[in-house]
This record gives sequence, C-alpha cells and structure tokens, in this order.
Amino acid sequence: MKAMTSGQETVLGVDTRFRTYTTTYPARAIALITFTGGWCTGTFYGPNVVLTAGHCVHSGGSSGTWKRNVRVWPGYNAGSAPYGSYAARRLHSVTGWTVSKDERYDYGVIKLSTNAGNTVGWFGYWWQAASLTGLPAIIAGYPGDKSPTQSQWLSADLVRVTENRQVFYKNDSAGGLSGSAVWQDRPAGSAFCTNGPCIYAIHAYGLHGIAPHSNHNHGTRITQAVYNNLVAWKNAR
Amino acid sequence: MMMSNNGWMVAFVAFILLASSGCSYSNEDSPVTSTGQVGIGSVEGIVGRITDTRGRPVVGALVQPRSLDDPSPPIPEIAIVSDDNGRYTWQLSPGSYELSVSADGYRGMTKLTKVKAGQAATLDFTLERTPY
Repeated sequence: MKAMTSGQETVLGVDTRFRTYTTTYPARAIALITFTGGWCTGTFYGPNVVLTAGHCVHSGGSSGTWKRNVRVWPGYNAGSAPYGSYAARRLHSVTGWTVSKDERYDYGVIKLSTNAGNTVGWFGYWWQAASLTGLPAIIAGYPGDKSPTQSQWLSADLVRVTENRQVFYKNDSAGGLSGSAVWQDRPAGSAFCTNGPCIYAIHAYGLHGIAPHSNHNHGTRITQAVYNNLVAWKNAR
Repeated sequence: MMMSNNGWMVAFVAFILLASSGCSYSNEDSPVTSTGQVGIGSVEGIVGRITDTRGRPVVGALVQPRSLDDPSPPIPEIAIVSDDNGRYTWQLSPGSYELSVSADGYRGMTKLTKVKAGQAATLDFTLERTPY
C-alpha cells in the first residue's frame, strides 16, 4: 500500500472517504472550527462543549498562544451554515500540550455560551484500560484537500495499534481534519457508552517519525484522566 | 513506626515504577483554561505573505508543509490559510520543510526552507492566475 503523505495530507492507498449529509445526525453534531489563520474539526459531546485537538485551541508549548476568534459551525457544508455559528466562550486544554507540546496530550475543548448541542445532538464518549485494537474507527470532518472547500467527509477503518496515550489507524485524513472524534457506533446494551456514536480518541496527526507513527494516522486516546477532564469541562458553567 | 532500609527501597522502586508506567493520572493532564487575553507568543516556524503578480493579497490560500527530515517531526493536521492581508503563520518544529500553496484560480507553488530553533523563517509566495 502506497502512502501519499506530506505530514498534512495522509491518504493511505486508495482514497475511501465519502461526503456526508450534514443536516442529519450524527454529521450535524460535527463542527467546522475556524480561528484566525485556519480551521480544524470538532465534535459536540454535550449541549455546549466541543471536543477537538489541543493544537486547535492552543499552538502548544510554553511559548505558544491560545487561538484567536475561535468559532464553531455545526454541520457546516461548503459555505452553508445550516445551524449557524457560535463564538467560543472558553478554551480548555492541559499542560502536557500547552506547556510540554507533547503529542500524547494533544486534546482540547471549546466551551460555548449557548446550548447548540440541544439542536444538533452530541456524541457519547468513554475510556477503557484494555487495548482498543480491532475496534471500528470512524473519523469525519473538514479535510483541506477536498473540494468543495470546507465540506464534510468521513473515513472508516479499524484501530491497528493501541498505546497508553494514542491510537493508530489507517483512515484517510488531511490538514483540517485535526480534532475529529475517533469513534465507533455502539449498539444498545454495550458496556460503558451505548446506543450511538461513542468517542474513544481525538484525531490529531498524519504520518511522521518512526512506526507506528510513520505508517498510521493517529490520535489522542481518551484515558481515565482525559475522560475526567472532559466531564469537568462539560459540567463547568 | 520505623521503616527498614529494604522497606524504603521497595517504596522508592514502587514510586519510580508508578511514575514511569504511563498510568492514567499525570501532571501533564492538569487542565488549563484560556484567559481571554490575546497572547504574544514567539513564532517558531514559517511565516509569510501570499500575493498575486500585481502585489494584491491572495486570501484563503491553503498552505501545506511537508517535512524533509528523517525521522520527520509531528505536524498537526490543521488547515492553515492566508488571511485578508495574504499573511499566514505555520508553527513548526526546527527542521527542513517543503511548503506548498494552493488557491482557487491560481497555479500552485512549492518552496523549500529551514526552520531554526526559536526563529520564524519567512517564505513569501507570488501566485499566477490560471487561464480562464
């Protein structure tokens, strides 16, 4: 399998992405995130909280800065904003990203003033200590290599490798998809998160470095500590 | 109650193992919240301006870096575009990069540059319109 990668555009073999209909759930709970100088992807996980990558809210490291003019556009579709847009009220991340710029801690949350999630819905989320290898992996968002610009695309694969803080998969991705949830649809009766799309990681990187980073796209795993932070940020006023 | 030397050794080894085990609880997971103030951080990476052949800013051009180093550093899968003045900023680790710029209605362009620690390399682009 040939990897076409620039570290930014990471389509592994044949491009299997397909375009989504952003006025249906769960696609409408996936949001374009814009800020001064660029964009990312995020996912509602509560009425007024959007999960994303740490680098989508802060440039990382002790000399880094918080993103400016952050705005959330649920279900955005190539110039159309069927559910409007919402300015960020607060941005959250952790010191592992904002001080250490460690990719294993690359996660963040955007808190909104309004409960847009009551209209578009939201995803479930959970953590487990056991390996995630073999679970279905779905990512969806706003890759910059696709036309029309800022249209929403989805890619499906499996978790190929699990590490303490990261999961690795071969979904196709590109710059702009950072912050997408990595999820599986879990049936009613499942343990932990149940009956719908359930997030277990946040997409953040294409290929780089050495294996498994060099031959898998990858994201930040929801550990117990990450889960606890997500709950706290969700419940914060 | 006194602890024997062996007891202290066991406790010390247990502490080291716990600290290095990648366990779920870590100071690195300490939450941080934006202050609402605009930061003035230094840029380590590549900055520049994208204009057309008449010197007018090209707005919304997509700027994509590719590391030329082996092993390559992580590059966030963020989309960086030029602003209303044609300016862009890519925060990148030190190393050698190829930067590609694309915009609707213009021929794409690629340039090479190096990023030094703590510094911002400047890389400007002048794009030609594609024929109608």
